Amino acid sequence: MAGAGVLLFLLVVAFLRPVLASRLPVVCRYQGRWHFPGLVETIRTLPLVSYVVGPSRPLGLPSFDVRAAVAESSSVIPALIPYDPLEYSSDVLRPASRSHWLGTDELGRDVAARLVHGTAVSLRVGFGAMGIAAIIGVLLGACAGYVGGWVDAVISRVIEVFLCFPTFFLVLALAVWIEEPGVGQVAILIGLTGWTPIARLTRGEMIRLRDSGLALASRAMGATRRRIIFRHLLPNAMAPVIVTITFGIAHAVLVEAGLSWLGFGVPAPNPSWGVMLRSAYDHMLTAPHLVYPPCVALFVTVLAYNWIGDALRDAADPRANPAWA
Amino acid sequence: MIRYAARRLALAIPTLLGITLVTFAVIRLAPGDPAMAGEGRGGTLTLSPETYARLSAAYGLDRPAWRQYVAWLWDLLRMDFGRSFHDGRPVADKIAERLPVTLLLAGGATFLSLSFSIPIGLLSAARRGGVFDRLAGIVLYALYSVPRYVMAMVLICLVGVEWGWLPFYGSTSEGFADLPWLGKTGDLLRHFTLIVVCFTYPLVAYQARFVRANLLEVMGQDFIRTARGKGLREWTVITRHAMPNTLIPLITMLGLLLPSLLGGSVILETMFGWPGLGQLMFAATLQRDYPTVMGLTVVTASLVLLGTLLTDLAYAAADPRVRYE
Amino acid sequence: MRFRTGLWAWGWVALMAACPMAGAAGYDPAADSLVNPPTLGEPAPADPARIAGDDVLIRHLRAEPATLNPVFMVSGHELAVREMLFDEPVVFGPQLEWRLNPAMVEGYTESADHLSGELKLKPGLQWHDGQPLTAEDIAFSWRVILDDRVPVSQTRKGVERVADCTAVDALTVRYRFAEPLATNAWGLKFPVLPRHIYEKGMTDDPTLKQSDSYVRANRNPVGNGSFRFVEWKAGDRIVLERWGDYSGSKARFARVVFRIVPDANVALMMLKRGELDEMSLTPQQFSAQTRDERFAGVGVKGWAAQTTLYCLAWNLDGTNPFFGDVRVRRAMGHAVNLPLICATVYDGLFSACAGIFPPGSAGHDPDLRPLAYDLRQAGELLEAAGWRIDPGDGWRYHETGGDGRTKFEFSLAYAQESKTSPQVAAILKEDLRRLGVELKPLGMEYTALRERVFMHNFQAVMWAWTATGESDDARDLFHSEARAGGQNFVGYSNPAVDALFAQARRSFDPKERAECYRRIGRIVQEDAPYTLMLRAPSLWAFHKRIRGVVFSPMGPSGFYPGVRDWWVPAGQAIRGER
Repeated sequence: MAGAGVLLFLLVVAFLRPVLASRLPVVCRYQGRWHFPGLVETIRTLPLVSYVVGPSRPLGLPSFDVRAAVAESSSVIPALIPYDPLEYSSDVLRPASRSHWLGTDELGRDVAARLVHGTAVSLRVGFGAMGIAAIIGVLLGACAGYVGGWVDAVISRVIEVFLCFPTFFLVLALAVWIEEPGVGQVAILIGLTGWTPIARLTRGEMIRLRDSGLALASRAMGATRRRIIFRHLLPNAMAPVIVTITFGIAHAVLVEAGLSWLGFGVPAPNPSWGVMLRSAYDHMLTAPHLVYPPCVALFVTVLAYNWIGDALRDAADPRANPAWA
Repeated sequence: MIRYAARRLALAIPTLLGITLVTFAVIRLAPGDPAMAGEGRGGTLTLSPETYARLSAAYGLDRPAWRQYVAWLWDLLRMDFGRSFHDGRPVADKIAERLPVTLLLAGGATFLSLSFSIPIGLLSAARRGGVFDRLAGIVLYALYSVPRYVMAMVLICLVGVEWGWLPFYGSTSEGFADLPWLGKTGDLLRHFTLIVVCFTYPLVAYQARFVRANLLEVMGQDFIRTARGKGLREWTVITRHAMPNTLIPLITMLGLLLPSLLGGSVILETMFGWPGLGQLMFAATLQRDYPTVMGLTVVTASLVLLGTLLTDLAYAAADPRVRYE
Repeated sequence: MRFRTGLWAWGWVALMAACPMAGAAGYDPAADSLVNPPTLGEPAPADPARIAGDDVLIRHLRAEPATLNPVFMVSGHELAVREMLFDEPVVFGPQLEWRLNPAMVEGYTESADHLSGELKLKPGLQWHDGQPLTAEDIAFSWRVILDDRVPVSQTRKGVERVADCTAVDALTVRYRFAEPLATNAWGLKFPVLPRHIYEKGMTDDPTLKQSDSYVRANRNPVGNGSFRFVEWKAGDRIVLERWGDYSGSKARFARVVFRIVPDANVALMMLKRGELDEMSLTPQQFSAQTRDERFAGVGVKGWAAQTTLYCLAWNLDGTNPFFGDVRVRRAMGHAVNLPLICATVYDGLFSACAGIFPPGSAGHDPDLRPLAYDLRQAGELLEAAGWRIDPGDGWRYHETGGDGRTKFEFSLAYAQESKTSPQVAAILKEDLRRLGVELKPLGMEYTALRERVFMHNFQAVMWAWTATGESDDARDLFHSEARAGGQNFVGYSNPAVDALFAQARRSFDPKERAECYRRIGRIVQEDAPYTLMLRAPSLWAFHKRIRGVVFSPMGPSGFYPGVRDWWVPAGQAIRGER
């Protein structure tokens, strides 16, 4: 449950990022009128909303000088971390201080603000990649394992083709292909190249369960093939798959970090934990404070996902719990 | 058994073909080509259209794509991997001089990670929920969250530079040729330590959790209850009865890790100066060195297929049901 | 609430106050005692007993050369090896001026009509395998370089000026030029291949790099320089040793080892442990990572001006609606926060660049100034050009006939592998946002980027250009003929500039040429097809025992005498015998 709590915390942080870290104040009274730029931006981070709701005028407009306006406003509630993640300054590579709680990076940008906004990016990469990988992997693996025959032969060959590529090469080759790299593309890339272990594991488990008593009983009850696969067998097949998936989300972020090292990750200047890790590496000798925020964030994420994974597995398999034995 | 092996071998052929086709398509369709990758990265573009046409013809790029693929395939059947576009050397030579490093790294990582993950997984499962289990989990996840290149930098700085315990670049020291046989081995091992540690440590977390999950699942089964009921010590129950049943999933897990193990790590190979297949693949992709990329794909795919074949054979030897599909 | 406001306001005030001080708190190379110490440039003493004779020099290569055939070696790291193995008849001098190689050449005379020239070699020149080096080798090399079937591009540049090259006798080479230009003498600067090794296979393999024998020859080169080839361990090192039969001055090192270390951080570690004797440093390494005791114990630093300049190139060939208007281009120039970029991205080590011609070259104009960082003026220029801010969403739009309008958003392409380009793009993106212009940084893999630029398929790109000693080389950037085949991929065309280049080429009066180039520089500054940003200096680290290092505008090597003049005082050699 602690895992779910941490995950929820991360999601809330990602959702509330315009309120947590932004040069826009949450609320202010500018030229006699009330403005809520931070709150408006928060709502606009939800998908599709930004097409309907415009930015808070004039404070939320890109070309507007927010700092000057806020200086002459009253009743200002600033964001918790009053910096924009892209906002550069000449105060570079400073360690943690009162004005910058986690210090600044090589362009004088606030690390805490980048961490908050990077959470959203990294969660998107992690969930997106693993979601794609899980869906493709489980579907293909389940079909191959249960149906068998030539379906299995074909799908197994496809799995092998993807499996035999070193993941990195495929990601790299496809990254070279992409004209305008973006967060979504990176997630899709990592997902498309990471589904094979899941497929193989699922297939293995399905084969094991297919001839077991469980499948026999379901067939005797007259269940359709689809029902047998998804309702009865899959939940029992998930144990090793869950371990893989929960590692996979953090793994996706680490792959993104590796891509950033090579120069192919999320495009600059968007913050993501991978990009921050690359900066940390470049400046490790002079600014070691840059290493901790993304590593700790990653560590917390890995911990949370694995706790959730453990809990899910324990819930699905009653015999694993000695109390039930 | 022989029939099963022969059948799997026969099925590997179309897989290999599929891999080469996908690789060729991906690398060929990527923007740019060897003529464009051209002479170094000086930053100056002095390619006139005539020169470009001339270079393209020299690389055989004026033929249609399918022709190039068929020509390459035909050469491959005669065991001719062709010549690199980058420096004209035979691709087979370039791969052969780097293969030992990659195999060494993969073998060393497998051995090292299993030596840690099996005992840790065992103990975690035996004392489930106890102090060791939680502590091991946290330490392993913390290690997992640190990307390899960050850890590499830390180790180089501390172990290599500050304390000077181990060499951190290259595979041999200056006076290597003059050392006796034993000295040569020692020198190689000393150079090898840091890179294999950096390559291995993230694997331990995943493997240990995997072992733990499998062991817990096995331990929940009836025959364990029987063993306990017979009055055997817990330790004997685990090692003599539970462990052997987890070995098969363990082999599967190793099979899943094979592609990434054999793909090496371009980042670590670059940082530590151990030129392996990973670095070659990366450089060849960026240089659009089609023959080298195709050659590497064939070699690594063959190795992975061989590995998975052995895995499946082990599976089939242990579980008769698999053989008779 | 008021407390929070106060806190926040104070935080901002503190930040603002810190900004002007940040420059003063920054790194100042002039105050660093390890930078350019007097020992570094100390010339060798006349008495050879005071020079260590048998030390080993370990040099750093950032990437592995593809080949050791001099005709194909063009990148920086390849040239470092090439100049030690191969002597050329014409070289760069310390100011990148045209110069004859005194070890190889007796003299050169040009005819009065400037259409032909004669080079006399010194007698007794040899290749490393003992074969004599004659004028036939030079003539052969010229034929190879201009041969259509040999895949060279960069080496060929400039050699096309030489219409014919023949060996009159064993020691005399005669050149014939296509036109009587002042720049003809540069056509003589090309590498020399051993004819006795390369000629025989040309009928079978005219590309010189595909057959087995050529591949072997390219990896086991026979040169004529003061060092001969020993071995090349792929991916690891290239080893050269002093050649005893060299006719020129004896090399001062017994061996030179080039170690291939692609990662800059690791290379610095190796230098600090004494495993490298020299390397080129990044700005961060120069200003922050070489201030510790460990480095002070083994190394010193070199800092000198260089001719590489970084710029933003705006595509004005009409494929985008933004940069055809000179006011927009100048507005972009005013939006580049050069002082801050220089201070943060380049640690104050680079200098703002005004004018395409570097100091010391013919066209240099000290009165040119870069465009000042002034967002207000940039805004006014954009308004004048018709780009107005839409109060509804804050971005700038331009009316395009009918009811349509275009948003000012463009992509800035750069090589992904660069560390500094994304940072500059990030800073520019923020500044342009304040102007209402959306910049989309487009980091691309190098080969893909080259293709885009080659096809003129870009809107703006970050580029670098290294000037040589010959101002005429700028023709490749600005002449309208260079739009296809040269480096003028922004599509710039100005008849006045074309005429000035033609005039400068034909004139043999240095004052007239200098005036032409100065005028070109001023016109180009006005037209602003490129926004010139910074001049990169040479930033190097050396082992402290090394003396005799002189920096040319291209770095500490690549010119004559260059590396040949490095020496180690007797008794201070750390490898090999004392």
